Amino acid sequence: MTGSKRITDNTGAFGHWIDGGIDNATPLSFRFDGKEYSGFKGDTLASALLANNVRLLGRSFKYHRPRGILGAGCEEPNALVGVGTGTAREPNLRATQVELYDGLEAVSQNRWPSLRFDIGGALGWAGRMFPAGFYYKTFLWPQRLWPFYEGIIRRIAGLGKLETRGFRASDATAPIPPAADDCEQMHVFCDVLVVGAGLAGISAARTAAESGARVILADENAQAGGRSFEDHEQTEGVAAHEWAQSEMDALREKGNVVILPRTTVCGHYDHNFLLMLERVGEHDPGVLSRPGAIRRRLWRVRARRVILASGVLERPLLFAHNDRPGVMLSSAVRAYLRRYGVAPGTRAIIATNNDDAYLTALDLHAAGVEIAGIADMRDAPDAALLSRMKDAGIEVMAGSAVVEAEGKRNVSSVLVSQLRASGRPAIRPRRIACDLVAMSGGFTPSLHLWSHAGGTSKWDESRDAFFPRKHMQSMLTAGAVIGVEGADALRASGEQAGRLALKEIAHEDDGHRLSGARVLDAPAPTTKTPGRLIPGRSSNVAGRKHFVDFQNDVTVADVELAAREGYHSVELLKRYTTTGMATDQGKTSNLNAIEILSDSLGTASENLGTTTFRPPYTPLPLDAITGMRRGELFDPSRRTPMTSWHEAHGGDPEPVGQWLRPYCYRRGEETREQAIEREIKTTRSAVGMIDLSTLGKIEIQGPDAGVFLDRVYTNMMSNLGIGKCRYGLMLNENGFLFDDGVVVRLSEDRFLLHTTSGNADVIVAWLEEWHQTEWYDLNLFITSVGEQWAQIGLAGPRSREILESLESDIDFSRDSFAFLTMKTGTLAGMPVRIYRISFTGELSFEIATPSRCGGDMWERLLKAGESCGICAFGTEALHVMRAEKGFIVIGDETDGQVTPHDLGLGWAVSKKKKDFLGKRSLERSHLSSEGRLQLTGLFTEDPEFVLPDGSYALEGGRMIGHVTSSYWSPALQRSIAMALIENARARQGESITIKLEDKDVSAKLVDCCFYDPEGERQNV
Amino acid sequence: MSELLLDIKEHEYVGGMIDLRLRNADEKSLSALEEVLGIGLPLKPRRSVVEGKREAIWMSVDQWLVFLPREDLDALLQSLEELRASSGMNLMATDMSDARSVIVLRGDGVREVLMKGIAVDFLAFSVGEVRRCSLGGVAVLVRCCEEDVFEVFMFRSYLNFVSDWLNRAGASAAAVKLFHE
Repeated sequence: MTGSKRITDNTGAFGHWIDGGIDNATPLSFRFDGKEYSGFKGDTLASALLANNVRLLGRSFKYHRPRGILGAGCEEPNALVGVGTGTAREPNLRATQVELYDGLEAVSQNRWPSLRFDIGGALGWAGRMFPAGFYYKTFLWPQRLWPFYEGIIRRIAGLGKLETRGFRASDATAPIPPAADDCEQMHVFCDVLVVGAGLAGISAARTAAESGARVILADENAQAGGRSFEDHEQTEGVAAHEWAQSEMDALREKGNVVILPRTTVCGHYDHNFLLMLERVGEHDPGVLSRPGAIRRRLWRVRARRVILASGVLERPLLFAHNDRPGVMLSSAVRAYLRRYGVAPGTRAIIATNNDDAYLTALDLHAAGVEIAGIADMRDAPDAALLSRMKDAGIEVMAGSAVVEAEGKRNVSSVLVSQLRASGRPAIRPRRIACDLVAMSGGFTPSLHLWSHAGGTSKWDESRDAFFPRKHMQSMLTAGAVIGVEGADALRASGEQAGRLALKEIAHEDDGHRLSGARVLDAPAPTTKTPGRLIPGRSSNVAGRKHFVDFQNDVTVADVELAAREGYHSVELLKRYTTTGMATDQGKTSNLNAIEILSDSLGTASENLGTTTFRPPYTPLPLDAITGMRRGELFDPSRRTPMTSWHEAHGGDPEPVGQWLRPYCYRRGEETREQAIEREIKTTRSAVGMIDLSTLGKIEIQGPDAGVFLDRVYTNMMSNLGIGKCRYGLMLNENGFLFDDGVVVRLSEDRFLLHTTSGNADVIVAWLEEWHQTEWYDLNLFITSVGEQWAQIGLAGPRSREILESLESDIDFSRDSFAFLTMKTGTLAGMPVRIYRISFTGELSFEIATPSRCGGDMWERLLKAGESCGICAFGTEALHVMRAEKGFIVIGDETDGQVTPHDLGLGWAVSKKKKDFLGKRSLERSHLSSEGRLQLTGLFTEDPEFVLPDGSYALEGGRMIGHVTSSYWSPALQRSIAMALIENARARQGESITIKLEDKDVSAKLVDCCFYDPEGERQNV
Repeated sequence: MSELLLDIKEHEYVGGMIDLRLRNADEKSLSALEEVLGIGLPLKPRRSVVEGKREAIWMSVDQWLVFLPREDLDALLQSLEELRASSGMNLMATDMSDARSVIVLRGDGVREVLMKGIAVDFLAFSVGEVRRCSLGGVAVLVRCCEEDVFEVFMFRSYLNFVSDWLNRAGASAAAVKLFHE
């Protein structure tokens, strides 16, 4: 049988030399594109699919070319799948990193109607018409067809799809999709963070931990050991990966070490702050089934030192159709063999320019895979290796290269050419049948994390790659990432880094500071310089099918075209061709693209440098960033002592800052409008009460308190009598009104300020800033007391009656308790401060009591008012009632560009005060000029019609103002509105036109105070 | 409802609490104040002083919270006002006994749960240490009263939210073990 398969001996057990993480006692079943397969615990989705001879995994982004698995880890660009069902499906996951579990469901992407027969593949024939820069050159003209073009692009573009059923408005009746699993975040502080648990990383962690330092060891894989599975090395007399496992066992026993498998270090930021994504429950539904379990955890790490042991990535070779299924990275082929016991083919050709691929040949041979030959681009490969191949009976074609892969949905043969001295292939290639090509273009250090926070790299000629060079942050390196090779050397490198990290930390603890950049030595020279990468150009190999970036379908021809068109820098090349910009962030393409560009320009790669690597290293799901901030915990929500009562009594909530306040209270089948009308009628005819606890309350005390208030308010406050109240306005420095509220003088040097509910914290910060930075010589303190006091507004002609019916030491009579004054004492046995102020225009008292008494006070007042028919009223009723009196609301009548004079509140602006915030700005010509918008009332011609809030008034083709508040008035039994209209005060009685979408409405300018203009009702 | 790793108890704070402000005080004034308070004032950040039934917590360079039995509250506020009037000290004392609620957390794992939302190294937090921080966007005061017993104070209106947050973060199924002896 041809194709890939699991390697077993006659008894069904794995070959004795397979030593990966497969648990062959635990079979699992899963589905891919609807078909059922089986695998084992320890498989990835990729290894399991390969074991089942599934080699076609997807279709490429642009050309819809058939694609299979290229690698075995995070560098995989092709095998992107969606895993999960319904709205829990996650698209664009790399099959090489999806751990198999029983019942897993996965689908391929970017194909229609199926993977095998994909319509988009037809575009492949038209490939010549879609070169690089495609998006910048086409779909430009004619512009009016853009909506049509957009539809096409959306359909053919993109990779995976989100399941959106259940989220569209049309699905209003569909059941709510189940909540996605939770994610959370975790802060941690450590001495040393080791990135990568390969041989170097494990050694570094062990060394650092021996001193008792706090060490975190993180690796993106489930199993530690790095490349020790693939490399045939021994250390300390045992196989390298065995050494790794026993070291890990020892580390797990140590209390000062935190080991995090399945954890990708996504980004490195200033001062050694790093983000890590831990896959907690993704791989195991059993874990997720426990209530309270989480799917992912985003770690926010602050490390004193970071040791980067991130290893290397393998480079593909560039030959025609190098993206065919069956063409794989050579070290990945070894990984499948040794970790998962899967032979990815039956007849393989090795294409290489370095020594490492020879190990692949030996492993494949030992697994019973036929080796058709090794095409080594170097003229003179190592003699010892040649000898070993001869002993194994493997043909080596030196100075030769694979120039083309043939086959449709899988490679079926390759063309191999001798290379001439110029590097160009000879004319007559040899055709070699095979179903697997293991290619290796050499290895390049994984530099992403090094670069994120500004580390720079330098080209090394002997190794044909960029290596870490200079860093301003405290990042150390160990292992293959700095060119170390061989198990013993890797361990030594890790130990050295561990010791250095400890030394530097001790140095810092002694009070010294490490400053300046850390500059690394060049990697040790190697005898194993890789050979050429590109088979050279000829008429057959025009580069159009030689893929550089597999995810974005960028070819060698595209890169060369960009060079010809003048895009000579790597940054421009990247943006013009999109190479390196896909979800794999160029892991298998960046270096190759740089080399092709440098070749085209005739310059050295080191002169070009690399592009900037940016976090995250691998894609980071948004829900990991959101963490617990979902649903009820999305934003802090605040409750007053009476909130439970509101909820239990039909309170219809509306958000006001972080509070949910009752908009109105609906009884039975009432609509909002009916509830509001009832509340207003009850309040104006008898009595109503409202929860005002959310108002900001600030106490200011000190000998200079009065002076301070004179500066922040437009009114005089220092002459306010003790026990008296005054309505004050606050301007910003531009002279615009931004808050209002009642100020109460509690004693000679103590004042209480009220602010609007949404502005409470803002005003405290405003006052503190002025006091601390400008007027620090003023002797006073500012204390926010908002949470200390619950506050209830009692309004209506019978409000006094209610208060007098409760036991109290306060005289509420008209003569004793004047308007705009305050009294302290007790009411119903609870301490109170009571202010006689009115926002409704009715006889009204605001009762402040310590928060612990708030709930009781509310109930006592309700009970006392029962016989009067008292009702609770909400924020909307309050807003309507104040509008009936023409009182302003910050945020409705003000929009950040309105002055007190615009609103007819000039009386509140002191002319005596030498200075106050905003005074000078008010005198600017623009703010004191003619033709400004002024506050007015509006009566619509049709009294039943309520103007939409914010509608515009137009005259002579110009906008002359807008509606700021608009309601149905129960008191007047007609609609009322407040508006800002040009020169309104001079135009009273005139009619203007309000322009709506479907009609024009006429309205007359009238006085703002619609109801009880003499103000008699509050003076009883 | 998920099984919790910790014992989480929320309650209304029923004692007395005074927000105390003092600026530019010389030694004489400070002593006079401490005399009236019946407790010394911590002068270093994140420390607290406990004497009998009273505790003073450092809040800021010019601010303390003084905890005391409720029955002693009015008398102390009165004495403080008398001191201020007679000495002319730059002082402000405000009754804030009702402004805050408290959640008590007990159990092995408390520190890790707090670190799910607060960027503070609670593993290095010692008994008696106090810190103002931010949890899920809410300003809180965290105090370590005993080994593995923490109190979290927040403004009263945020109690439900913080409690929900802690219950979610404290699920056993999401437990994390950080560095330990």
